[in-house]
Amino acid sequence: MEKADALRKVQEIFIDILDNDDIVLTYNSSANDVDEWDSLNHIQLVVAIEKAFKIRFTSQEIQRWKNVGEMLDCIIAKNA
Amino acid sequence: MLFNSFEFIAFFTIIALIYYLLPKSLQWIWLLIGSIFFYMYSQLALIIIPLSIIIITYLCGYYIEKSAVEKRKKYIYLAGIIANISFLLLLKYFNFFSLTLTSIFNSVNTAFFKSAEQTNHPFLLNLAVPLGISYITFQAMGYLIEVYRGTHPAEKNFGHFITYLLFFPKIVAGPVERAHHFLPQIKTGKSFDYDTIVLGLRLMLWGFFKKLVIADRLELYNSSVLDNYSHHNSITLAFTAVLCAIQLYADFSGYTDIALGLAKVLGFDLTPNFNRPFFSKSITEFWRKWHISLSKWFLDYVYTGVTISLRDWGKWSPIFALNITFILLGLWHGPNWTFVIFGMLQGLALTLEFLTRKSRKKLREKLPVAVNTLVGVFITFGYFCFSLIFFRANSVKQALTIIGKIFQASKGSIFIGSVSTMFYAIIGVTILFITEYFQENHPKFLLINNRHRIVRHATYVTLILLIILFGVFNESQFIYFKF
Repeated sequence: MEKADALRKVQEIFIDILDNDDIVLTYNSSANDVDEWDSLNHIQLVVAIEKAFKIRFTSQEIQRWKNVGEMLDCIIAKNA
Repeated sequence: MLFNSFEFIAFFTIIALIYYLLPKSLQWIWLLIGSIFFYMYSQLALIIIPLSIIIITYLCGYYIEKSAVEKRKKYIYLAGIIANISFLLLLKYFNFFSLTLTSIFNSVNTAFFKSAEQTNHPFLLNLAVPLGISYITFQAMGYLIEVYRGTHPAEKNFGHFITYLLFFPKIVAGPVERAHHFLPQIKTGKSFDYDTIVLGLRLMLWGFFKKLVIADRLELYNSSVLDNYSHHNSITLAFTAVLCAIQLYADFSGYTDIALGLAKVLGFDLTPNFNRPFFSKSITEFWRKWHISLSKWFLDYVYTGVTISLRDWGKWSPIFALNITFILLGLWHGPNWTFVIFGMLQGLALTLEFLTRKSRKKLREKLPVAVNTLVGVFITFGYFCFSLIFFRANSVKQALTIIGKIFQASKGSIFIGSVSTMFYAIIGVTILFITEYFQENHPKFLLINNRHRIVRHATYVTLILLIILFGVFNESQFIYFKF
């Protein structure tokens, strides 16, 4: 899977879960850049991404991401 | 040795002067000597406890990193965490658990075996709680978690590591500093920088103003009401609850500003603990702005772990994690059910806000911004004042009596006590809130950090005069020192 495709798919999930059509994600986006993306919603995003990509992250992986790009690398590595 | 004592000011002046005369490679040793002296000046022999915690944590961190076997890493990590928790539980919470267990045991005994005359007496320990134990163990545990996760390297220099945990500006009441933020700062020598030092001194001045003019002045009124709470009417008690919240904020944020200022004079940056919390429009926002270093600790090391491991529970996962986290955060303050209830009340509010966030968002879109802000700030502040009744009360029973009396709406006028005390306190509080209002809404409007020397100096003079004229100089403790 291409990283750009994964980004598009993740962005849709964010728009859906956070209920905000204006969200535009980049590889460098982090929770600081998206208003509704807080510690309460974060876990729901993770679960939705796991379902959409049919993968399962470990807790260490989830806690290590610093931005969307790192999360996408993790998704792609698992899907490969 | 309290920050608001003359002996501390003398101590700090000597420390800072010699610090900048020393070669850079020796500066941290001087800070370590100063920190050990500071600790032993208050609790001579008890320094053995933080030192034991530091040695154990240092060794665990070192061997977690060195060990190649995953299982071994885990055991060393768990041993370090358990050691830290044991120190904390034994020294701070042992009697609380002993009393609770004995009373459960006795009630079971009475209920089922009707042997009320044979009540068991709890086994209690008479231990002195070492200074800053909650702060030291929490920083130590945070460090071990980071080393275990591989997000922070184990510290090799034992001297730097002790300095990190014993650093005197933050030892007694935080901030809860992260290793990755603090340790690199010890490793670089500091040159005398006039601007940084002035920034530090300004922070201290503002902190002393909040402590001496507002917090200690309000304490005179609040304690006079709360010591005789059964004789006061509902309006007085409600008013006192509001003043207690302002006092706690002025006290703790005052302490934090002094701590940050002291560290800055020595060339160190500590984590800010407050970001104008009383302007928050929800409890969720409030906890991002109140005691930030501690709530962030709980968020990263308790809340996140619990939500991740329970993520298949759907929305119950954050709800469960929130409530557990805030009960623990409440209990962190001390061995009393009042703090547990304080934490539960935060968890309850956060849960309600989480469940209603979409409907509240829709409602907000329909209302003007000013209405949203006013209503949000008002409800948040009111709820926090209410929850603080438990925080401040000596027992749950006392808190419930006070709340009962507030809602009974008994008649009578408000108790003012000493007019001068109330008048000086109101002047202080007004200055605090006007300043914060401008910081919040017009950040370009500066007083103490103004570009123009005249404005800056006029602010210094005003604050110093206010401290001298209206300050309370009884060297009273900072509230958070006891936690």
